Amino acid sequence: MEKKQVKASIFDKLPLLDKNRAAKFVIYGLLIAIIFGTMMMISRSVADNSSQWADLADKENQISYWNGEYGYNDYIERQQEILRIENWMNYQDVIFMNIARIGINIGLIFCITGFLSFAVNDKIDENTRKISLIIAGLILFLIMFTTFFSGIYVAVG
Amino acid sequence: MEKKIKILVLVSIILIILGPILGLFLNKITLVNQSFVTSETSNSDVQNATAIEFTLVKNQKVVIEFSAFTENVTANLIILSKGTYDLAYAASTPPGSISGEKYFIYSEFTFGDTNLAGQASPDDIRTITAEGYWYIEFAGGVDGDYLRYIPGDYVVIVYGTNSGGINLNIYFDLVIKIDGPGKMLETLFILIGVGLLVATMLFVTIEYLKKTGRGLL
Repeated sequence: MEKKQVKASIFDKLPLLDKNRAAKFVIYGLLIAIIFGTMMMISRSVADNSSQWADLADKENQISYWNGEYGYNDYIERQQEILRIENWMNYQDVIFMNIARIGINIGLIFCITGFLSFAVNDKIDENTRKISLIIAGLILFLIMFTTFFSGIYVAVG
Repeated sequence: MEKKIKILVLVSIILIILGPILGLFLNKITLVNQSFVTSETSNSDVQNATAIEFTLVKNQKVVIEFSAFTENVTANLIILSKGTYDLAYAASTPPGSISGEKYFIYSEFTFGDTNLAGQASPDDIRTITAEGYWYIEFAGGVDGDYLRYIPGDYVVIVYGTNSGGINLNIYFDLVIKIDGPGKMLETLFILIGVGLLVATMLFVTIEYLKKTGRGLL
């Protein structure tokens, strides 16, 4: 009888991850989530402090004009530039927060895969497997909750 | 390979540093920065007046610093379009009688005065008697206190009188600066520098993973 070889896809392999590989999935997932989370915090901080930056830049602009470093038209041009940058500092939050959200979700999916692999691994003790399953469920709940029930909104003046 | 990577990193860092420096130095290009002496006959014939030609392209302006500090001298600065100037030149028209002077903005810097718009005014002539300094911005025309960008060929003309009797010379200083490619070069250099640095880092990472035989997972 002829044997037909079927190539296993990544989905077939997922629950069969060995202990080491599952641990790697969890660690890499956490790393990805931390990196994108940091990006998210920086982006939010830049947006929150945009008006403070604009105030500072306006004052610098005013002093440079008073000192005669440039004329009124250059002053007006710089003022418009400051306004444009301030608006971009606000709006970049939408772009980077969405990128970060995708990145964090990918990281958390890695974590879920790792924890699920722990949960289905019969070489690990029963309690650890149960806890792993609960953690995987919680992470999945977190992903779904943040995806469906929170939006990213900024006001550009 | 290591040497190539070091060179790439060095080049990208040089580009990142060079960008703002070029931006600073080429933001404005100095066309003229010198002292002039012209005759009193400049007051009666535009052919004898000091004339400096320049060309403006879209979104470009010139800054003119006009100053004089000599007794008895009255110096006037006007800006004409090249066509009007050529017409007046051919007819030997006195500069004061030429119609069609272009408007510009002049600034008077007063430290601490928060009414910044009040420190700038539009005008078509600036006169210095014995002593004075004017900071002028010109882009082709004005609308209120704002410059209107009209590309074209223009001529700065300075003429005047000397009431000193024997001395018939008009002494004045002019600095003319035109917008340069500084901002564009700054952005370009920084973009290329950062792009090169990121590409090198990615290349080094891939090479390292290949060399060590390690995958990510």
